[in-house]
Amino acid sequence: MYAIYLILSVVVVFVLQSTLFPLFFPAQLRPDLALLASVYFGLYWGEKTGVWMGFVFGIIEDSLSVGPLGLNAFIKSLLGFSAGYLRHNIAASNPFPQVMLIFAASLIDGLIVNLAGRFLPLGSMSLKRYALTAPLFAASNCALGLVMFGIMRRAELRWRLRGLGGPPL
Amino acid sequence: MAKVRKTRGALIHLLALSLVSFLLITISVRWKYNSTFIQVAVISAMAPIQEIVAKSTHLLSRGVSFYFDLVAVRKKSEALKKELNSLKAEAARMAELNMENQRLRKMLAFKENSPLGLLAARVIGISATNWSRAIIIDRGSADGLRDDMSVITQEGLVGRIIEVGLSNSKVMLMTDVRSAVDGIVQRSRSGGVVVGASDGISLMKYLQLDADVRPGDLVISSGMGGVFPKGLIVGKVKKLSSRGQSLFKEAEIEPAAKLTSLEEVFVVVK
Repeated sequence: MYAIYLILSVVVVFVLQSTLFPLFFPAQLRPDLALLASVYFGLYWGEKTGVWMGFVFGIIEDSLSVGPLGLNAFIKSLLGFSAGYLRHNIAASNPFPQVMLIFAASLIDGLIVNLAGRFLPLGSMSLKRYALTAPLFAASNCALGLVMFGIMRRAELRWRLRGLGGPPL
Repeated sequence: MAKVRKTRGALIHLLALSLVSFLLITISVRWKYNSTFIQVAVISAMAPIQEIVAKSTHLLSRGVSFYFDLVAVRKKSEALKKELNSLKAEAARMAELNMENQRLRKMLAFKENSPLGLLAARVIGISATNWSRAIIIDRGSADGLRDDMSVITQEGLVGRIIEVGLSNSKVMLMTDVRSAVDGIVQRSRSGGVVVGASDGISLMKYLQLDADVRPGDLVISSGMGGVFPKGLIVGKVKKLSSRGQSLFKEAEIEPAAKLTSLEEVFVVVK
């Protein structure tokens, strides 16, 4: 049954990302819900779920945006795995490590996209511009990430309380 | 040990998915970003949901926009109401100034044509009790006023000064029961004393029984008694009456000056 929860998460994330967020956030500051969800699943569900959910989020993100199919799939699965791997070494439920993790993940996401743009015929922004915009993007991700993690965690616990399953906490 | 095995398993998944990703990237770049079946499938799956949400969002956005428009209209309406009230007050002030201007013009004309020495004064208060008829004017001893000076308007007699302060004076109106003016009927020259009545009118007493007095006759001051100069218009005869065995008859006099709405008056200083 928890597959339904995962599918619902994917749908909600992309509906929010592609319809509501453009209305409320300027392009440079628009949080990346797919990134946040990938980190979340890695952090709370483990490396394997993090990798797969990251891949799914990434591939959908690629499909709905301009660029080569697979780039975001790779990045998000990598971030999902990393979050899952790091959760053994940090206090995963503590907001501070969560913020640091989201901040780092956001910077890495931007950096990989930027580097990929230099090797693939994608076009990329200058490093100076990246240095200016990436921290803002990361900060907006952190702000939303804290709220989102709280909401998702609460929803997940309710889901589990109803006996609908999920990986061990 | 289990943890390491789990991590190793996840790492294998990561490597496999990374390989798939690179494969997809390669295909995608080779095909110059033309849509692959995955993209088409994802877009087709997401499109209906996106459409529903987009429509709802649009409706919500319109609702929010409508609300903000309403708030803006309300604010504007309040601002316009304030402006309207301010303009109304301004219009009232202008009308008041216009009326004052007209009154003062009339007074000026009256003053210029009058043989008497007149000093204009503004009424700043009226009697505080119901039992007396008096007004306060904004001139006093500093302006040369003294007790018993006559107070008039261009319409006629108002009363006399009974108290003088430095910069204001109290004037007893001719309708006060303690007021007495020696008067004559202008047409027949019949004499009498005009006294105040409690109900805001005056009575001309001590008229001879055979005196020729008719309603509508004008009563003026006789100049006797040394208080009021001769020839001031006191009022108009309204009604005549005589009591059975009385030696005199009396007339009800309607004061010529509008004593209930005095704003500016003249004090006869010479």
